[in-house]
Amino acid sequence: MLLVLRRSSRVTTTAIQPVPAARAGAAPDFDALYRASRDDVYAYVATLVRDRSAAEDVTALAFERAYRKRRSYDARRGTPRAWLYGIARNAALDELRRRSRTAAMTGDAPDPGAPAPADEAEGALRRAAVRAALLELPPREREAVALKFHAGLDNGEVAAVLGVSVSNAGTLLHRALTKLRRSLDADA
Amino acid sequence: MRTPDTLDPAVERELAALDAALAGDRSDPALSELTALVRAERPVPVPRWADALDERVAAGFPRPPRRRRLRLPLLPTAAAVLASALVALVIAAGLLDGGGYPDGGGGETGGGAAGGVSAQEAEPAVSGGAAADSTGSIAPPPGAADDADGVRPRRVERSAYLTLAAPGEELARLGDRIIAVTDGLGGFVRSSNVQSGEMGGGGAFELRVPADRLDRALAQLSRLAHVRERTQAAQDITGETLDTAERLADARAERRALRRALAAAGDTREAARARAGLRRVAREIAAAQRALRAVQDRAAYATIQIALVADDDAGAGAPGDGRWTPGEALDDAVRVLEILASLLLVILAVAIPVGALVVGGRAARRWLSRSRRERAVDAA
Repeated sequence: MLLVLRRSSRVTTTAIQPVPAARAGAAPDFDALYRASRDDVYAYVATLVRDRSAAEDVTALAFERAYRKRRSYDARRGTPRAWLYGIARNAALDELRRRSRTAAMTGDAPDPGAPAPADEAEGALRRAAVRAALLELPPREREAVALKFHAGLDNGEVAAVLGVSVSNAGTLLHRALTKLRRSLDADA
Repeated sequence: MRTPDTLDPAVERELAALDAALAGDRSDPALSELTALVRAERPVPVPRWADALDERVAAGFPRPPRRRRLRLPLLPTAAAVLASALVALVIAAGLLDGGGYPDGGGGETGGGAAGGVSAQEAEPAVSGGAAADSTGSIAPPPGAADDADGVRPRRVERSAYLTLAAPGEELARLGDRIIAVTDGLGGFVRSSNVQSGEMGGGGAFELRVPADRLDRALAQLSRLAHVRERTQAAQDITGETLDTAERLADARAERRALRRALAAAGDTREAARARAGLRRVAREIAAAQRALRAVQDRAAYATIQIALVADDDAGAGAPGDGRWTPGEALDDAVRVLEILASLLLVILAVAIPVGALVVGGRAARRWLSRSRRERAVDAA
């Protein structure tokens, strides 16, 4: 059984919610998939397009495409989550291409959420350091981090979404992790 | 030895530790802090948008009503289908016109290569070809045809050969029906020979029917029994007819000259010589008239040779005048299947290259699209 890390929109604690595994050739349970991954897909798309409004449109478009194509899902080619994130990725990249044709991208930084009033100065600094390090990551590594940290995909699913081998996905994640660690070490 | 698709063990350990930290393991405090800080950067949707999307999902993503119109990617497919259909129609028209139809009008396989005259060209027409005999009473042959300018009369001799198969005990009755068909069309039987019996038999007929009724005669005769073979031939005999007519005209001109010489003869010796000449010319005229009638008769009447063969498998009910027999139905079914197979072949000949182009185009488009998307990631 597949497990998805489900988070509420405001709380970072995780809850485990099962996603029904799809049979080979059977359409996935779209409602369950949607409920389990709505916010995760949004987080991943927002990391890619770096624009809240565009992320909302792209996420809605991705779910609509997945809904319309749900009967063409093939379980032999990956998990329902990998399939869904692949659709979301294509939609996000199409948006990036469209924006690059019309104007230079002027995306805003990812929404960090409402700041906790009790954040200490030290914590705020470390948080800012990680945020800056995330922004400095190469796009593919930042995308891998979003899939791993925000969407909760395992390495195989990350590889399937990015269209690379599992070892390549692991290398991307390891590089990103190393850079993020360094940013914290430098801040300490 | 590690393959290129495997990770360094240290990297694998690091990734395993990351998975553990993401799952809540705090054995590596630095990594736990890092995962928490990265997760804190996770973009979160606003509730209003999330609620609106929930509603759309619950409604099944209703589409706004819009006018149906032909999508651009469908156009090449539609064009290919249309082109295939047109080619198939052209081929089918050619097949049905007799090109590939064994018993069709274009199926003449016999002699007459020298003549090479089609059935259409041999349509009967009133001809002035017999006018050379001003004293004769030869009717205009129905097998004659004029050129477009109507100046040069043309004569075509037509013939056909049929092999009819029927059970041995049916051959005698089949022979009677052949004669009836011939009489009904104004023709005659030049010769006939039928041996009938339960142990086998056979027969042969030579019929002469008016040339302009040859097609009708063949159609009626072909319905009398199972047709095993059918050939037609046409030969242009215009030159032969004109030569004979000119020979007759020359002989008559000589006869007129000899008559004048006889009238003007001064002595009995000259008169005797003129009379001898007139007798010779009279024989030549008679021979030329016979030859002219014969050649005109060849154009006026077509010859049909029929061979009867005993064949118990041909069906006892085969010799039914005007009936559509099971054997004929089977032949027709085979012909329909042949034509359908030809059509299918033509459609495949067009559809396979078009399909390959479409598949190749889609693959190229997919590759191009993927490559552009990957460039978009790098540019982000």
